[in-house]
Amino acid sequence: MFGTRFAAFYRRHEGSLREFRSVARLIRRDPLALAGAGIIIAFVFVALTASLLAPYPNQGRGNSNLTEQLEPPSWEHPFGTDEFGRDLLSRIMFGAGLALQVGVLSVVLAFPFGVLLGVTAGYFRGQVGEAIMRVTDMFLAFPPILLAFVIAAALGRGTGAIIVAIAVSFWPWYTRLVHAQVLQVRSQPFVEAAVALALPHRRILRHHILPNSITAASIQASMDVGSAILIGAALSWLGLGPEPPTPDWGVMFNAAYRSASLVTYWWYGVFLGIALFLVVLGFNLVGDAMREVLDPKVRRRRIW
Amino acid sequence: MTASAPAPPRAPVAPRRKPWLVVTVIVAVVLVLSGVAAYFVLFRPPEVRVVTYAVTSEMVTLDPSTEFSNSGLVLSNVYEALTKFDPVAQEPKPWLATSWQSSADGLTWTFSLRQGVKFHDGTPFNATAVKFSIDRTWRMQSGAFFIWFPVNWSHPTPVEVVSEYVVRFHLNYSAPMDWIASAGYGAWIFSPNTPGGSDAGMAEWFEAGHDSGSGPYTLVTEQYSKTRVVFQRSNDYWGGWRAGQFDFAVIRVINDPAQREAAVREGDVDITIDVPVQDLPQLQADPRLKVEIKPSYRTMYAFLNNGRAPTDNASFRRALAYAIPYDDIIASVVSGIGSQPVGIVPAGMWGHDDTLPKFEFNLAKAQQFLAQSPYPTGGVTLKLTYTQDDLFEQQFATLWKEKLAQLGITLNIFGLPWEQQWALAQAGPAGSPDVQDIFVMYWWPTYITPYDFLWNLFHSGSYAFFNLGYYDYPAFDGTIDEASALEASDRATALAKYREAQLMLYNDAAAVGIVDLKNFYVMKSDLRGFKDNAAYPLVVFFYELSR
Amino acid sequence: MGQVAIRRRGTSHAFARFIARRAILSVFVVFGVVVVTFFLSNVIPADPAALWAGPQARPEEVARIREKFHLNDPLPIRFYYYVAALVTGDLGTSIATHRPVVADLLDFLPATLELILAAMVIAIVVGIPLGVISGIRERSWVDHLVRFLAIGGVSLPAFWLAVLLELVFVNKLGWLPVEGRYTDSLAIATSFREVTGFVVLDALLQGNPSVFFDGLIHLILPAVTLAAYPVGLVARMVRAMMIEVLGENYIRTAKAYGLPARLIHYRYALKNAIGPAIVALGLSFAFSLTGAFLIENIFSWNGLGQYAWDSSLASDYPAILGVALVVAIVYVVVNLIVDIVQSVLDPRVVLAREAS
Repeated sequence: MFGTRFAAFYRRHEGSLREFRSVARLIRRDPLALAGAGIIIAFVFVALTASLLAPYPNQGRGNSNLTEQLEPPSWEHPFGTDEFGRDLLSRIMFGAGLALQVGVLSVVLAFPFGVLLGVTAGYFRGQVGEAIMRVTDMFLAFPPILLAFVIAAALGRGTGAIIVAIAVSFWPWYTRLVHAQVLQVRSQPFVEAAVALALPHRRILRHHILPNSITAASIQASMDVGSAILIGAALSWLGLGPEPPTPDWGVMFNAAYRSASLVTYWWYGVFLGIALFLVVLGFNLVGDAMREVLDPKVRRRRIW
Repeated sequence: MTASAPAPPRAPVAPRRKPWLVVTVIVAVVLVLSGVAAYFVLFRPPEVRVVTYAVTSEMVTLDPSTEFSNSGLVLSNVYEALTKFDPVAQEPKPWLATSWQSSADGLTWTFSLRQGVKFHDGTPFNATAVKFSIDRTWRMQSGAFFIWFPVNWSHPTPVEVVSEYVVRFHLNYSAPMDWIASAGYGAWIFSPNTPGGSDAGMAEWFEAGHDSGSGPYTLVTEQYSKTRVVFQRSNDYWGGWRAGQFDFAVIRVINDPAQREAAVREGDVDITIDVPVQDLPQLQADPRLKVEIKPSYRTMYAFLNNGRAPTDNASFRRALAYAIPYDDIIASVVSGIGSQPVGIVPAGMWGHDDTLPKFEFNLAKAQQFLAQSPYPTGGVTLKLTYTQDDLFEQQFATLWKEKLAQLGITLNIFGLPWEQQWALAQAGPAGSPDVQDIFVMYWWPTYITPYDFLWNLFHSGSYAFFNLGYYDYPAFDGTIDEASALEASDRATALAKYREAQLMLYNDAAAVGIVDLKNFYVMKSDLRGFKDNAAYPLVVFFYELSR
Repeated sequence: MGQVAIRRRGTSHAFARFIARRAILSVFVVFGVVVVTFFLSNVIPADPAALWAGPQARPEEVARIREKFHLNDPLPIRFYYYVAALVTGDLGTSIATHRPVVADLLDFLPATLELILAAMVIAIVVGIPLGVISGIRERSWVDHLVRFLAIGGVSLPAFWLAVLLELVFVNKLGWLPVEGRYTDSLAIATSFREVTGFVVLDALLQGNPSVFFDGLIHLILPAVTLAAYPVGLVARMVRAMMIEVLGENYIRTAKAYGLPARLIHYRYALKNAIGPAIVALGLSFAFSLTGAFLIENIFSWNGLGQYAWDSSLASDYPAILGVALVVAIVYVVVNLIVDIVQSVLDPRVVLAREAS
C-alpha cells in the first residue's frame, strides 16, 4: 500500500526527479560549483552550532568585555576584539545564522509571490495582465533605498523589516521573468491544445504552464540569495536592521566603521568582510553553476 | 571524404587590420600620459590660502533671523552680534557693541556701537541696522527669536535708535541683555538693505546662498550647496587682516567619522571634529596633527518617563540610575572625552555646582531601591529611544542594557532619526502606548544660563516638548522662575535657587546625566590660532586661524 | 544584409506603435510612483514642521509652520497641492534646507550620474573582453578564472571593497586621494566653478587641466568600487551569450568556410552578445542612482543616494518625492532606450511583444 503510493508518486514526478539527478551530477563535475556548495555547507554548519563552537558564546551574543577593547588577533582571540572587547570570531559565527536567514527568507518570500503574479499576468493577459505588469514596473522604478526606509519605519527596524524590504524589491524581477516565459510557453501548440480542450485553468497552469516557465526565475532566485545577503548587510549598516548588540554583520560593520579607524584596527573590518564575501560567493557560485546546467542553450536571454 | 566535392566558394577576404584602431590606441595613450604629466606640473601649491573645515552633517538654512541648526557654523563667520561670549572670562565681551549699561531697575539697556563698520554690501553699520535686524528676527517668530522675549514689544520703541551709534532696549522684566546679545543664534545683525523686499523675500534671498553680514568672510554664492560652503575674505573687515590669515575658507560635509579622520590626516582638510574616539592615542602621537579637547556645554541625558509606570515610581527610577556604569562610559565609550555630570548644568558653565550629589554605579544599591519599588524582582520591559547614528548614545544604551539584565529588567533600545524620536515622544505618557520609557538626548544652551537647561528640560511649560521625562512639579517651576528673574540683579541668590532646583531633580531621580561631552577637534599641526568657544558649539571662527 | 531588409519593410509600424505605447505607459508608471511615495512618506511617524523649525524651536512656531504647509489638511488635498505645483515644474521646497528641491537635486544628481557613467565605462571596457575570452575558451582554466573573478566581483560587499582599496591605494601607497570629488584648494586657486555639476566636464569646458585631472583621479576609486558588480555582471552575460551564439549553426558554417577566428568572434558573435549586456547595464543604471549610496557615503561623493537617505531620515518629504520622481523618470527613460537598442539589434523581440 505504501509501496504503490510511492510508485505512483515516483511515476508522476519521474521527469523532475531525473532532472534533479542530472543537475546534481553536473554540479559535481564543476569545480567552482563544488567550492560554492562546500562554502554554503560550512556556513550553515557554523550557524547551527555557533553556541557550541564559539570560544566566547556570551560575547558572541552581546556581553561586553571592556578590559580587552580593540585588541589585535591573538591566540585568545583569533580575530581580535571589537570596541566592546567582544571576541570577533564568536560574533561572526553568531552572525552567520542571521545573514543566512536574511538571504534565504527574503527570496523564499519573494519567489512564490512574484511567480504567481507573473503566471497570472502571462496566462490571463488582457487588462489584468497589463495592470499587473504596470504595477511591477512601478515597483521596479521605485528607489530601493526609500522603499527599505519606509518599510522599516512602518514595521519597526529589525531583521524582519529587512527581509520584507528585500522581498518587496525582488519580487518584480521574478514576475517579469516568469511573464516572459509564460508568454512563450502559452503560444506553444500543446498549451493551445489544452486550452482548446477546455481543460480547467488550474490544471493547465499546474501541469503545463508552471513547470515550464519557472526556469529563468529559479536561476535568478538561486543567485539572488547572495545578493539578498549583501543588501541585507547594507541595510543593517544604514541602521534599518536589528539593534546592537545583536551580532548582525551589517550592524557590526557599521560599528567597525564608526568607532575606530579601519586602518589601525584592521582586523575588525577585514575578517567581517571576508566572512560576508565568502558566504555570498558560495551562493553565487552555486547559482551560477545551476544556471549553466539548467539553461545550457539559452534562446531568449531577455529579462522580459 | 570531400576530395571530389566542388571547391567551396571563395571565402570573403578577411577585413584588413584597421589602422584607425591602432592609431586611436596610440593617441589615447599619449593623451593620458601627457595629461598625467600636465597634472603634476600644473599642480603647484596654490597661491591662495584656503582653510577647510570638515563637519558632520548638512547645512540647513541661511537666514540669520531663523537659523537654529547646523548652519550656525556658516553664519557665525559671516555675521556678527552685539556681544561675543568669552568662555575664559565667562562673560560677554564687546563685538559690534563697544560698551553698554543698564538702568538701575534693569529695564533699560543702552549699547554704544562700534563705528567704522560696514556690511558686505557697503551699507554702514549703525543703530538703524541693529533695530532692523532684531525687529525682523522678532517678526519672523522662528528659530531662536525667543531670546528677545524680555524686550517690551508693546512699548512704542522697544528697540530704540537713540542716535546713530547708540541703541536702547526697553524691557518687560529685568534680564541680562549683554548675555542675551551674545547668543549663538538669533542675535546676528545684518544689513537693512538686504534685497528681497519683504521678510519672506529676504528669506529667499538668504536661502539662495547670499549673505548681508558684517563678518570677516562672505559667502561665495555660486558655490553654495548643502554639502559645501565656500567663503571669501572680506577685505574691508573692520578688524583688519594680518599675515598668515586665510583668503578662502571651505566648510565641507563628510558624514563618515572615519573619512573625516582620513581627510585631515592624508587629505586637504585642515580641521575637523568627531572622529572615532578610539583613535585618540594615534592622533595625539601623529606629528602632522594637533588634537584639542575642550569643554563644551553639551550634556547627554537619559530622561525617565515620570508620567507612566514603571518609571513613574521614584524608587524604580533610582534603581535604574544606580545601574548605569558611569565610569565604564567615560573610560571606554567616550575614551576620556568627557566626565560624569554633576547636577544638570554642565561643567564649566555658571550654575554648575560640584557639591551636588550624583549617582554612581552600584548594583547592590540598585537592587535595594528595586526592592522598595513595586517591581522587586524586575520582570519589566523598558523601551529606550536614542538618536540614530549617535555612536555614544548607542554604546551607552548597550552597556546599560547589559547591567539592567542582571537586575531582571529587559531594556529594548531603539535608534530612531531625531525627527521620529521626537515626534514619538511628543504624544506624551498618556498619549500613545508606544511612547518611550527612557528618552536619550543631548542638550546645549542657546545662550549661557542655567535657565535654558532647567526650563526646557524640566519645566511644566515645556511638557512633552523638550521636557521629555514629563516632569511636572510646581515647586520646581516656581524655583527656577524666581532664579531667572534674579539673574541680572542678584546673581548669588539666583545661583542658590538653581542649586536647589537641581537638588530637587536629583532627589526625584527625574533624569540622569550620563556624560558631559568635550569637544574633540583634530587639525593639522601647522594651523595656528584655534580657540574653541563652548558658547558657539562646533563653530570654527576662520578669522582667528592662520598658518 | 537580409536582416536589414526585414526590418525596413514590416516592422516600422510595429516599432512606432511599440514606442508610443511604452511612452504612455511610462507616464503612468511615473505617476504611480509619485502617488505611492507621497502616501508612503506620510506614513513615517515624524513631524516635518518640527524639521523646518529646527531642533530647539517653540511649540507655537511648529504649529504655525504646520498651518503654512497645509500639514493639517487631509492627505488627498495635500496631494492635490503637490501635483498642482508639480505640473508647473515646482518640486516644492526642501523642508530641511528651505531651498527649492530642484536646486538641491541639481547639486546632487550630476555627482551620481558622473560616478555611474564612469563605472559603466569601466564595466564595458573590462567586462566585455573578459566575457569574450571566457566564452571562446569555454571550460579552460581561463574560463574558470574569469568566471571566478566575475562571480567574485558580484559577491564583494561594496563597502568592504572600498575599505580595502582605500587601505592599499590611499593609506599604504598614497597614490590616490581619500575622498571628495576634487581638491578644494586647487579648485579655488584655479577659479574653478561647478556649472553643470559634472566636475570633469566643467573642468574641460573651463579649460582647467589641473582640476580636470584632479577630478579624474578622485573619480578612480569610487568608480572602480562601483564597477565591481557591473563588471561581473557583464562578463557573465557576455560569456553566456558567446557560448550560445558560438554554438549556432551559422557560426559553424562560417568556421567550416575557414573564416578567420577573430572575424567570427568579434564580428558575428560579439554583436549578438552585447545586446543583453547593454540591457543589464541599463537596468542597473536606474538602480545605482540611489543604490550607490554606500559608496557615495564612504567616498564623500555627495550624490543622490546620500540626499535620498538624509531626506528619509529627516522626513523631508518634498525632497523624498523629488528623488523618487527623478529615479522613476530615469528608469522609464533608460528602459525605453534599452528597448530601442534591443529592437535595433534584434527586431524579433519587438515583434513578439507586439504579437502578444
